[in-house]
Amino acid sequence: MRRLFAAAAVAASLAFAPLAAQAADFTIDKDHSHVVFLVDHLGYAKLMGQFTDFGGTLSFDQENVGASKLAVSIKTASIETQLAERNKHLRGADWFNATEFPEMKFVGKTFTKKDDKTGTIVGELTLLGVTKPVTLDVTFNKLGVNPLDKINSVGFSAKTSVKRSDFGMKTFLPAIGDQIDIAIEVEAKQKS
Amino acid sequence: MDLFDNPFVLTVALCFGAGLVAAAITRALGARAAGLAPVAVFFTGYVATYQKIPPFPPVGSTNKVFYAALAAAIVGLVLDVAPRLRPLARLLGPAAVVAIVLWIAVPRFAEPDAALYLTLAALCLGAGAALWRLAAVADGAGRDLGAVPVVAMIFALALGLAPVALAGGSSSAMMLFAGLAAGLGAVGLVALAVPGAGFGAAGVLGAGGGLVAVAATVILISRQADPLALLLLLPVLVAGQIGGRFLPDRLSGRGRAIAVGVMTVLPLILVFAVLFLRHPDSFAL
Repeated sequence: MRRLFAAAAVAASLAFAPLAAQAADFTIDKDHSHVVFLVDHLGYAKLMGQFTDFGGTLSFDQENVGASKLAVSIKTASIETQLAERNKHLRGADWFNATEFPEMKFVGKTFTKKDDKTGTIVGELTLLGVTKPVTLDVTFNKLGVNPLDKINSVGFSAKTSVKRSDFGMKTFLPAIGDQIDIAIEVEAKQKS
Repeated sequence: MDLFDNPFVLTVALCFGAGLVAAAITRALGARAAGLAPVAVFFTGYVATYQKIPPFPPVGSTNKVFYAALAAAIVGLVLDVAPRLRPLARLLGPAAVVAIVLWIAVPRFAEPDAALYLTLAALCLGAGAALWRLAAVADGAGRDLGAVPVVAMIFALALGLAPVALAGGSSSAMMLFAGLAAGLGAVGLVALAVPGAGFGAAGVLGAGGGLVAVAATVILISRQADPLALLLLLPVLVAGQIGGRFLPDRLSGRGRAIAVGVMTVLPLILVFAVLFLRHPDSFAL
């Protein structure tokens, strides 16, 4: 029986070892990921919102971060700010214009590792038909087999700020702030 | 100055000021320039609301609004400069409506359905009738009641569309409509002060076309406009004329013009009531 366990352990280690050493493709786990934004409201406080429907793929190699790939698509109609009437306006033509621009996209172009835990992703964000460069400050959290579903998973936290006016979204400036602070928490599962 | 920290108040005030100044200047320039005052009001409202002159070619419906109104105003100005072409305004109004509505609707054709075609037909019919009627009434400007009846009609349409836009998920369109109403109110005041002045095709096509473009954006892109309120708005196109028939003959001049103007906006009471009852959340402070 001991030999059987030992063989299984060796087989498992052989099976999972390459995953940490080679680029692997991941799909964003929407159930455990969040795209949250904050925007100044009349100088009093920051309004928080999130997008609840998004997806994307990631190719990641911990040993060769520069070769990584990232493509994320966010459904603009999925914006949620805790107030139905406000959500209705934000989905409309004044703001995210979900009818004409149902998705915003981010495509990572340059992946730079600062240290074992942090780095940057310079990419292109397309919103309202306008594409601008955006830099994500990324913290690498974890890579490994998820103990619950046994699927190899990776997790990151990322932050950035953009000016909505750069994308032509100038509604109620400056009463509603121009700078949008974005916080992203992502879990992604390796494709089988 | 704190009052003007409110973008809504600022836009309304800017449009009112633009209406007064533009109407005074254009009246001084003569009848052919009269139609430029409402056009100036519309573009003041647009820039104050969206805080930009959009790039060309425009991407997105709110950017298309600017160029749709500009193109319509230029056509109207040509008609004003060449008076023999002026009668064409009645035909070009509905034609401009169809062109504007279809242009705004382009992204909706990616997933067309019966509701879209029904909405397009109703919008073209209603807005086409509005511009045809505005052109017809504008033709009578310069006589009898001057420009007041046509100014009152555009004022009423803009004032009625403002809460429709707010309930329809577009506070920017609401702000632009309110600004347009304020500016047209100022133009109306100048028209009352200088009776007999005309109202150009540029005003009908430029301001009217811009108004239709913004309404089409709310209806087709934000997709929340109340159809009943829009239907109830149409009587403003005939209320002044019908009501005028019941006015005593001894009432003339400014008094008659004011009475016709007031009767033009009366249908708005029903529009506002319907909106408040059907969309209370949209008007909650």
